[in-house]
Amino acid sequence: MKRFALIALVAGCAGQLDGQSNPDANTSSDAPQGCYATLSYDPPFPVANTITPIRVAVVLSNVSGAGFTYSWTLTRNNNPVTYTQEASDNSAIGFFAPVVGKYSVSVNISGGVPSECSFASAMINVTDPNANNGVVRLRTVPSPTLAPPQETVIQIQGGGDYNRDIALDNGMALAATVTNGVGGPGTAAYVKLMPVSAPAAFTEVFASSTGSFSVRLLPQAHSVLVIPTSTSLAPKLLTWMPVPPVNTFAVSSGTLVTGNVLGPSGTGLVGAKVQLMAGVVPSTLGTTGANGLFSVRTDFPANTPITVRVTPPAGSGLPRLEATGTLNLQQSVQIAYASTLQTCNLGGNAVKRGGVNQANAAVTFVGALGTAGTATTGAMSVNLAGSVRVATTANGSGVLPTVVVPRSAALSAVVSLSATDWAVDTVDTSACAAQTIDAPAQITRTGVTKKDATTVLPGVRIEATPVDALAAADAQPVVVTSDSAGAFSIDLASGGTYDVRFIDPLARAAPLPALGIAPASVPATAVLPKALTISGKVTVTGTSNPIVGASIQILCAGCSGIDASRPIAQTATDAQSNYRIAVPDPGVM
Amino acid sequence: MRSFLAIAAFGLASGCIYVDPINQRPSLDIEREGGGEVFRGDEVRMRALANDPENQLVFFQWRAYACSDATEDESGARPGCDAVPFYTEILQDAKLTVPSMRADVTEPPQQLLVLLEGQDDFGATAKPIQRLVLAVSDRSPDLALRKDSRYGYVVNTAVNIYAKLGDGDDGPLAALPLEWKVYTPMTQPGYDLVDIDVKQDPMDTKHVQLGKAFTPKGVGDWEIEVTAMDQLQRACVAEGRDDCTKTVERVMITVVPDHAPCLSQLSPLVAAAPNALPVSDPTLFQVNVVLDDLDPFPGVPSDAVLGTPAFHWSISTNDFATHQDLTTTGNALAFDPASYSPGDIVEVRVEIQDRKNTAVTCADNLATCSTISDNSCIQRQTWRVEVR
Repeated sequence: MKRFALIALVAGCAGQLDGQSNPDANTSSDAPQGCYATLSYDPPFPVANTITPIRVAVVLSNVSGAGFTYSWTLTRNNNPVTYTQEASDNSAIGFFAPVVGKYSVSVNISGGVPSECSFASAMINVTDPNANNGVVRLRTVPSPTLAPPQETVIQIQGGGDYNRDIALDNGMALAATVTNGVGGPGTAAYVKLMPVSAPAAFTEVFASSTGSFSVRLLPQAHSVLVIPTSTSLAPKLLTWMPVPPVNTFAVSSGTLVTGNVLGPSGTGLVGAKVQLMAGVVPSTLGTTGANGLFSVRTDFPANTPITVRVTPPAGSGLPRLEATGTLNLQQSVQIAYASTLQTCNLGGNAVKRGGVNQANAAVTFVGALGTAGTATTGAMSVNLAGSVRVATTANGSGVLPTVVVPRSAALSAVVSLSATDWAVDTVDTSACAAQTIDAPAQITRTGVTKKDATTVLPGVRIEATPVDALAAADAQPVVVTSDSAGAFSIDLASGGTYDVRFIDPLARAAPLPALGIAPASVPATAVLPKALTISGKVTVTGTSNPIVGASIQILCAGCSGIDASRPIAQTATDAQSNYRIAVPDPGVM
Repeated sequence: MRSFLAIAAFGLASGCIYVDPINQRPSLDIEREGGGEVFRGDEVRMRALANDPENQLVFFQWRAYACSDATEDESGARPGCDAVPFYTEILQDAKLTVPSMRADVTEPPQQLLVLLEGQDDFGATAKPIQRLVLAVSDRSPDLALRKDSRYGYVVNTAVNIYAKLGDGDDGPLAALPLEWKVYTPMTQPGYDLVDIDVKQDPMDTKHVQLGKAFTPKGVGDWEIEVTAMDQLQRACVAEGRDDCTKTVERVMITVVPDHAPCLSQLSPLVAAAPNALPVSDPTLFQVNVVLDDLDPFPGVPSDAVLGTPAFHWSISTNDFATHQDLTTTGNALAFDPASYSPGDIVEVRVEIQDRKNTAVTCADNLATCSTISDNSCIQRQTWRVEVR
């Protein structure tokens, strides 16, 4: 009998224990729909140290019940990081982050929580407390059907890699029409839509012959440049706002601006091309006729300085003219070359290398002349700067044919003996004396690429982009790659100037620029600066599909002109919408 | 004998005979709860069913032995069973867990011998002893395969094959090593199959993960067959029996040739005739993205297999029959309209090639070209520019 009682007691206890250990079977189905789990961490901008821990807690929303089980994973560079339990139910942890970098934290939640909120993860950027900040532009361009190009200025904190997810606005679809006059027929045009907040992240499109086009735009104010295909219509800058909806962009014949171009002798110059611009808005293109008369159509915004550009007829020996100033376009525009301007025929001069004539050498004379003319409307006048670009080719004996250039002591002759063999020689045509165009042999610079003072870095791409005279003569960049020992050898034009960039395609180091240097100044030891890696995921509102092949570029924040569009670093998203890009590390103080 | 005679005499004297009833043996039976196949590690529940003619309380004694073969020999011994039971119980209900190994030999048990004895309050024991022999089945390893390629299953690039292996009764390690077989396409090209390190899932201790890097040297349909056998299954095969089981999983891999690179994203806007992009300032013509299996642009850092495409730039001014090759080899071309006369129409052209160096052979006057006759994947693009 005693034995039976003991049996019953044990059985009863076991049943009770079972009941306690079984979760309520209804817990999951009773939970509200749309639950989600997130991680919060404190401090919100953690810096590497061994004193202040980082505390991470799960925040469960739209979930009833308690007694959940939390299983945490914390890593840095895929290596586990030690953490401590910071809540009695293990719903929070704490850890020290003495090292800069990305800390990946995730938690699996079980014990009756709905599956849709049974997991949460976060990437915590731990930065250096003494990090320098670099400012760059981050441009992201996904497929145009998904979202418009987007650009933002970001700070890069030095000292270590970090995570940065990119959330793109899918924008709004705009189906619009370019018309000839308000309510008029549609007309073909080039349309450039520039967000006011980031004009460089523009969207371009061609309106069809009916004037129609469609694009996706960010829902914010845009400046819209419309350049009609028809030369009887003037380009125009308009404003587009998302509200109220506007889907018609009207252009017109604008204002007819007339004038003439006079040569140094004061007579009309026939065949010169004239274009006016007001900011980004061009006029139509005018060509001078008899007596140098021209006309262009303009539809310029008010109170905008006017740029005048004049391209003389080929073979005239005159420089191009350009300047920006205040002009009254209600009056005739008188453009006059300076009467002191003289030309010189360099025909008959030889192109030599090492004293030997160079057959079929291509020569481009380039240079800047200072003030070479004026543009006048009534009492308003603007001095026009002259620039020279005159190209010719020596004959089979290496002698130049007739080629007329302005007289100047500041010209250069850029000689191309082959597509990869260039030289730059100074030319003084002020006295129009006979002279030899000398094309010295290219300068070979050798060196080694390194990632620090002692470690060579093989496979570095060395790009020498011509600037100044070489660029004006359309010389192409010279590119070589350092070998397995980091050694490189590059041939550059004697007398030339280059922007040289050392770029590691494998992103082991950041690009090293050496700008505006002569060949002799190419560093023999190029130590590429340290790089840090920014990585993350790109998302577009309104779609859960992967964002594949979106272009991501890091661009200079303080640059202008063509350099503003030259990426410092670039990458594209992979099949999982992820990106990884190496950028120069601003370092730490 | 004396007491019997005394009782008889007393009975005769009183007219009645009182005899103590004879205590009969209880009868026993074993009732198994549930039923179904029994595997190592399983819990088996049984209940003793007793019937005592005198309704006395019956005391039970359970014993369970792990056996390879529970058959009795001529002497009544069971040499195929452990000498000592792995489980004993005196309650009416028995609940045992099937051991993974026998105690006397290092073999997984293939049978369980359960003995049940009973004795009533007066000491009468049930005869015969109840015996229940349960066959212990062998759980086959569970195996899942997964394939993954960073390179789009292109010939001569590695495809990672991952195997997730478990065994419910032996543990995953007992099913190692796995047997890998590669079935080639009809042309029988070569291949490499080498081990790779695979991280284990700390949350799943019941499985191990293994991997191989498979590098096919030819295109076509390949099949990777992976076989897992535990100890008993291997022993069965070694004995040459024809009733052996094993776990076999297969993964099909269609290996494709290196795909042509595709120009995906360019800037500025590509204009084709009759349109022309107005350019009045120095402009960088760029290929921002090339999609390709092995040579994408921008390149993928720190990947020894992936490369980048080659870019070939050319230009034509007012005469679009021929394009002058430029020496620029990068993904961008700086175009300065000041090198031209306003109103000039200039064609800026880029062509790309991956490591196969497939020539872009379309006629020079065609703005675009696809070497694979697929307009969604072009290797030539031409900007038509109007110099302003």
